[in-house]
Amino acid sequence: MKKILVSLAVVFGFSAYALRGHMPHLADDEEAPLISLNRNTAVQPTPTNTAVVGNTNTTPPTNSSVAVENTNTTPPVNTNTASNSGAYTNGQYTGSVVDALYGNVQVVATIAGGKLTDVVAAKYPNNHGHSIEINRYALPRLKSEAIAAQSAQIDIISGATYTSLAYQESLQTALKAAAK
Amino acid sequence: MKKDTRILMGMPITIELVDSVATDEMLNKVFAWFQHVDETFSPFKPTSEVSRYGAHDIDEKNVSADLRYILREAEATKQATNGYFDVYHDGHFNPSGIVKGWAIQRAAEQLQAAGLANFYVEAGGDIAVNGQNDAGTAWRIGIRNPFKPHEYVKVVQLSGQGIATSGTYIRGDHIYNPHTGRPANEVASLTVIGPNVYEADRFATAAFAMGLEGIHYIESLHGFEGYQIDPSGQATMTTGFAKYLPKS
Repeated sequence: MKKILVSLAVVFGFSAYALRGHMPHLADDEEAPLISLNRNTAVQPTPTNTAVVGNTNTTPPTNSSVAVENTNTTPPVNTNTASNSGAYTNGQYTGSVVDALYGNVQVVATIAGGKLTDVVAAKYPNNHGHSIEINRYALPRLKSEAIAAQSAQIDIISGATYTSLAYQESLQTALKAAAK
Repeated sequence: MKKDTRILMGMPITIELVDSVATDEMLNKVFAWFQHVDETFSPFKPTSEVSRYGAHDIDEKNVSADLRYILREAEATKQATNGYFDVYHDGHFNPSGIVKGWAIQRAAEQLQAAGLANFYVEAGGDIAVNGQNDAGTAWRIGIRNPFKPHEYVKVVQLSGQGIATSGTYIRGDHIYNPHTGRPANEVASLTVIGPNVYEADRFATAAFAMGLEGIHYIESLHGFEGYQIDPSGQATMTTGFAKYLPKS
């Protein structure tokens, strides 16, 4: 019996010694963690918010990192396409990115009770992942100012237009993805 | 003076002809040109040449002269801008970022050929101006407030140049690009003034895709000036932009 106990003690002692190297070293004023025989590796958090860019066939998580905003200038949604109860599967669907000639348009459609209940505009960056090779240091510092409304008389206005057609097109692709 | 606005190519198009010799027929001809451009280049019309080309129903050998020209110009612009200008978006062919400026430019040339010297052609915020307005001064153009579409925040005076504005409207929260972690909309609006509206349009389109770097890219281009508004309402302008501000 005694021999078994001594043997076990040796085994445990040796295991503890061997595993020492795998334990995180503690500073003198730190408390010892619960003994764990698992290697303590850094874990990369799994991204829960996947990019919705260009994905028309996946259902993005409802808590998306892409903030959506309600625009008040949306064209009236043709709910006749969703009048057939149950025509769509519940969830949120992101439409294709559509070129609105200036900037891109992408909508997020919400289906509840089988019907289209909400459409909001998601924003989408024009990002090519390139880097520009401009020697910024050789260029002069550019002047900056806060914008302010002007009242001088003008003939024409130059500004980006938010075409409703692009909006509709993006919505159509979202509804396609939602259709059963 | 002849002036009219019609909705074509999915946007309002306004033409004003100041010369007394201007006729309704000249006006109608320009609108007919935009109608033709729409039928050929609209990415929303399945029957357009652009849609058919994008669907590979026709190949490069069989495209019209206009589309062939646009394809060549699109490639040249892509090279010139390090790929920031690209008519392919997610695999879809859409040359709208170059067609609009080109169509306005062609319209202006048509009017010049008809003998007019004082007019403007405006489509979706891009403008070609020639000569003077009906008050006899340079054309006065306001740059739209991207946060309040009924306001304008800067006035420039042009005579013979082209002006193009790229941008999106922003209301409320910042949006972040999950790929880069940077704000998705770095630029609310970028206005470019160039020797003509075709040049202004293609470089405004490319520079807008560069985010906040865009204005510096415009600064590096000889003959172009720019006015860039960021999401916080701060505007940055190129060093030569002041020459377009009203003298008075």
